[in-house]
Amino acid sequence: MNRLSWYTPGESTEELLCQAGHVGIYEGDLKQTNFEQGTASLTMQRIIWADSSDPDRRLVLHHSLVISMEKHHKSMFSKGGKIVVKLEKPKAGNIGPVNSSHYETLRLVFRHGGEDDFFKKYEDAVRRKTWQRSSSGSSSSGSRASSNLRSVGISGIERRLAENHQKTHETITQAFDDMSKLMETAREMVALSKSISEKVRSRKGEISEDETIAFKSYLLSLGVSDPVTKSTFVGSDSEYFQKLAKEISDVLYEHIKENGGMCALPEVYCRINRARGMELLSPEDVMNACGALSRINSPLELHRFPSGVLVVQLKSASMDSTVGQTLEFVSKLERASANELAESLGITVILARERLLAAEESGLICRDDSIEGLLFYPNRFME
Amino acid sequence: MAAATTTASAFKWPWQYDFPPFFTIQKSLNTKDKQLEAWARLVIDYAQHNKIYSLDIAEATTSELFNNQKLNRRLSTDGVNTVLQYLEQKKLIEFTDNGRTRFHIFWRRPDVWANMIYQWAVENAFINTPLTLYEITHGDDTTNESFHNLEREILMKALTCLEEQRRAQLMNIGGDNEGVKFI
Repeated sequence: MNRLSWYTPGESTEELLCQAGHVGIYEGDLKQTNFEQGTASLTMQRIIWADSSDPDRRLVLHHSLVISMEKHHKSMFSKGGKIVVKLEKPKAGNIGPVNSSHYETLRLVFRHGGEDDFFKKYEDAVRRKTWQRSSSGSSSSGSRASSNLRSVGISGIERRLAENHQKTHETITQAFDDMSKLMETAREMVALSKSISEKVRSRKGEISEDETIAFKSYLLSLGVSDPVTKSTFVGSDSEYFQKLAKEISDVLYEHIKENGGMCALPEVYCRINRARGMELLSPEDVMNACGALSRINSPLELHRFPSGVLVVQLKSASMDSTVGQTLEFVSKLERASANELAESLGITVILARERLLAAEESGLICRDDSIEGLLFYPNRFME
Repeated sequence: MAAATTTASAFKWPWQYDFPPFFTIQKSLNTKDKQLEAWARLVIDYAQHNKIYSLDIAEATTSELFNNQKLNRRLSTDGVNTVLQYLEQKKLIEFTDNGRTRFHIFWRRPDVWANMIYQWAVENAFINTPLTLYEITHGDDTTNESFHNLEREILMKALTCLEEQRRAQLMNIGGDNEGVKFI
């Protein structure tokens, strides 16, 4: 056991190769140990064993001490598969759970299996001798001996926090690298979709009908083929918003025309970003672009209901015609709810409610608020 | 509530009473004005038909006036308060206490009651003849008059009007034999 040392936070290049739970560490052929059960983690420099009942109680076995190793499968009498490691004498100044021992071997007993994979990777790590190349040196080397104390108390906690912080930082950096790669790929995809659509257009006769349909379906799944981006319009916000308004108009006109003549702003935001794919817009940009619809001679316009709800609606669907249409619907049913109007026009309940409230404001319909919910009737009070 | 001389079932409810939105105070101002106008007319007509001179708010809220059981609709407490505020503004009701829990309904204004009572006194030669208040509202001579069973507070308001016009003189008010002499 004098080959084992107490854990200190790791070497700079340390990375986890393999991990196994329910591992016991036994000396020589002894049947008793103070290290019955823990998690063994294999790195390129060492094995770190953490006690299951007290994870802060951690031991280290350096690869530099390994002479040879062999694997024994689980037998009828043994507690589990095991790896027997023959070790050199420890370096002077090694601080571990035991000061001296006359055994040259350690047994790692894997009660829940996993010894095969662990053995293979352990053997490979020892063969590579990474610890010799490591600039920081292993914790068993003389330069580290003085600092090789068990990390306890506040300093230990601080060290662990610093480690976690470093790990998090690396993870985030990696994530953003991946994101930018993804963005690059998306740009390539958009360029590809553009070239495909041009080819389809130019080679109308040479491509069969089925192929054309297939191509078009691929293009549709890619969304807007050439999204407007802010970087194109440096310093000219109004031009950017006008171009964006044009894009919104092109993407949403058909949908709005077929669905009751209006579309709530959150839905506009979702639909335009769904169509753009990766070049996402902020809610603020969408709102400014919708405000610019009136300046680009678009068939759509931004309308604010008295309650503050914003919608993009057809210019042709003026408030008078919308209100008239709503009254017609309510009169036909004698009484109507927002749900019924929404279902009839294929719009959201919120928009249907706004239309009913607008008709109420105009004095064409009146409300009946009861346990049945909010219903609207033609306004007989004004007759 | 004063006893009704005619059955409530004989009262002819207006069309609004069978129109569900009537029992929800409307949001549109023009519509709300028309609605409150209709409520005011209904309250006054109902009170006149049933000879109701004063009402308790709690009593009113649960009465058939503000509850249509056939429609399963009732005017909410807030709604009743809105209607009463409108009636007060139009001087058709007057709250009798600071807590605003009870009110007089003027389906005839006090000055109209005053004229009717004075007219009756002239026709029956009671000028310069002292009369008790009981005789005016519960006497045999007034059984066929519309002010028969008139509530004391409203009678007092009417007689005070006559006193201000120097056509009557109140006597022994607050005593055993409260009376009035028409001049």
